[in-house]
Amino acid sequence: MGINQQELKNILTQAVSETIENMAFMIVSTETKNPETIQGDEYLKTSLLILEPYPGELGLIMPKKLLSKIAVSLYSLSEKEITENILIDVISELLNTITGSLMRRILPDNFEYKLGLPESGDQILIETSSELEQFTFFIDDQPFTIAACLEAFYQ
Amino acid sequence: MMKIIIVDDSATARMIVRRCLEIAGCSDAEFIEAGNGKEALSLLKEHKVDFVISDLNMPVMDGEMLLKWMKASPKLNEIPLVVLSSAVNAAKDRVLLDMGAFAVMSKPISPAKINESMSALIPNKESGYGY
Repeated sequence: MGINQQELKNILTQAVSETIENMAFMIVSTETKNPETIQGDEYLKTSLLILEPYPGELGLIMPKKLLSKIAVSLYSLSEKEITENILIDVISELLNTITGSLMRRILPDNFEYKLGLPESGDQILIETSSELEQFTFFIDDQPFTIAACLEAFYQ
Repeated sequence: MMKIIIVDDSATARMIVRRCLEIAGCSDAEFIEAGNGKEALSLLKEHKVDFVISDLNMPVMDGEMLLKWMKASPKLNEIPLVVLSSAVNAAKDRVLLDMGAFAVMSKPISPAKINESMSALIPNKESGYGY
């Protein structure tokens, strides 16, 4: 087993697309002609440790505006009814599902894996490694980022 | 009417599971929600349910421990428990099925996955077979 950065990007794109399309019925792209500019404080962040078979960590950084749109679609609520707690729950479940989907694609079938619980907050990401990679995706021109520390999986 | 317990620490995940079950044939079911395995065990004392669908990674009591408790209990060991988690693959599936899980599904869930893995638990409207 062992992946390189290009393979990781391809596999991560599949995992992100599968998750967003199934959970939120939205299409994910890796590029856009008119990316929206989002200010730093308009994002929510969450991270998740990979505990076994190798240590790693993934983070998801997503604009609140985009999360709100996903939450409105998921919960059938109006935008006014969407609270910060709902947004945190949505981003946490998105990252949890993306990470599982990624692990199933990276690891052979006979490798069990264990994940931690998602943690949200401004200080998240990513103390576990110097090898931090970031991958940007778009939904309706709004960017979101997956940060990954998966160097142990490169060996 | 069917009664189903959905166990997940994420309210978003519980809501998605409920929607998928409704689309897959459980639209008339009563859904009860628990945030971890311990809450689910407490609810199982109060409610007679048709099946439990549970996440694995949860605080307080995880899904694997919930499965062990249910299988060890003479009152609960006949209730099917379906595992739905981001932390499962073929290797983990085998372990959970050997422990007595009815089925194991990976997230993201969909009505099609439910029909594929849980058809024996869900009413089949076309054939009239089921609950």
